[in-house]
Amino acid sequence: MTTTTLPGTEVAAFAAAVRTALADLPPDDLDELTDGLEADLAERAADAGEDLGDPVAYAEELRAAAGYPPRAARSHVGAALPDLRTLPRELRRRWNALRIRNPWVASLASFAVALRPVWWVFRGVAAHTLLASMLGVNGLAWWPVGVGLVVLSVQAGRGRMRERAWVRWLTRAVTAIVLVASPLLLGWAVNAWNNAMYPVYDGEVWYPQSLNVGGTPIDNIFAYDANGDPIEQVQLFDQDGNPLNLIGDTGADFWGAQDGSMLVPSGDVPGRAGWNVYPLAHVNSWSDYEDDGRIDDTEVSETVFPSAHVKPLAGAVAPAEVAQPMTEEATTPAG
Amino acid sequence: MDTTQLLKGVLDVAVLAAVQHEDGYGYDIVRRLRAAGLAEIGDASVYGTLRRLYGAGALTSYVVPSDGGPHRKYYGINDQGRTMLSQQRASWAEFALTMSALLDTRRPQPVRTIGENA
Repeated sequence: MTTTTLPGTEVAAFAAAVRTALADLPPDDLDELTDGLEADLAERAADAGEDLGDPVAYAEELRAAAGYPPRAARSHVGAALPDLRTLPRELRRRWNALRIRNPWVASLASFAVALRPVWWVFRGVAAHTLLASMLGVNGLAWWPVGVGLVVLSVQAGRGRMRERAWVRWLTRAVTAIVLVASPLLLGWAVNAWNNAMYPVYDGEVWYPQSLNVGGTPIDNIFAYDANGDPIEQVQLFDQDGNPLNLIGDTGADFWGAQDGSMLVPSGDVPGRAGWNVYPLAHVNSWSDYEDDGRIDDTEVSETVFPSAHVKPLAGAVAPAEVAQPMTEEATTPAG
Repeated sequence: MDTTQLLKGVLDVAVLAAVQHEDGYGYDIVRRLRAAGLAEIGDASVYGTLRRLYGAGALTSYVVPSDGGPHRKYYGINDQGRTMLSQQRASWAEFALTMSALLDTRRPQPVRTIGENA
């Protein structure tokens, strides 16, 4: 027995391909025909040192010599790899047969044909998008190129310039690329849509620098006690015990309010600016500040509450008895 | 002339002749035929022919396992095969004689014309 020099896997793969090419035969005949094939192939390979060649041609030779009729349709279901030269013709033939057999396929096809211009436009836009991303330029800024590509795509789709071979090949190549890239393009489109719906900011995350409720900026807070009387000074803290400020930059000397006036922090908090002591005081005149860049107490105006009183809470006790203790309680820092 | 085309017509008798004295497995028979001068014979053609002759009842077949390798399928001739071989041998001899005579350059066939002997 000759030693096998060819890897067994190669022989096995070749034998498997031969069996696949003969798969249309009855199983018993196939077994009979290919029994001992591996041994023969291995020995031939060891003997002649040649490569095994084309398994499909080999299978056809085997089939013909064994007296089986040649396979009728080369590419029917379950057969070996289709012949690439006849594949387009074969596909067209089968497509036509399918259309004739099923009227709904024909109407679906004619509907799709009516939609072809949509595809032409999409192809142009897609080519533009891909080109722009490949060259790293902003596609929107280069929109005239996109318009040109759409025009070219539509013209090619309408069969213009078709007599030139390179136009046909270019059209096919672009079509193939766009088809392959369309999942990617759809991903981009979905992403762009999401971005438009839910804005995210590139780079640093942007936080609003003032407190907003329903889009209305909150400039100042006025506190009233349970009896509906205004509280002259109240310190507010958040759930973590941090000062609850209306502005992000607590180092600022002032904060421009919506009405054009300046808000200034309370000077009564030791060690830091009292931006969480409400209501914030106003500086009425810009010029006072601009003169020397400082704010004197004299320039700070009296805070005017929006209402002198609000309705007392249900079950509130008489103001004289509880006003003072409640104020004290409210000014105790939480943390 | 394309020898492979000629081979197709004589594959049966060639294969029968190759196994008439000794049983053999597929590639073994290919090797015998090539050694005999049929260098262009294709292995698949030989294997297919073996299968067809076996199917026609002219050959016997048995499997011999090999050590550590794939098993081999041996073919041997039987009485029916011998009968077939002798018939085909005769046909071939006659055919070959006819063809040789036809193709022999030393004795060109005289062209007869109608009325020449009249």
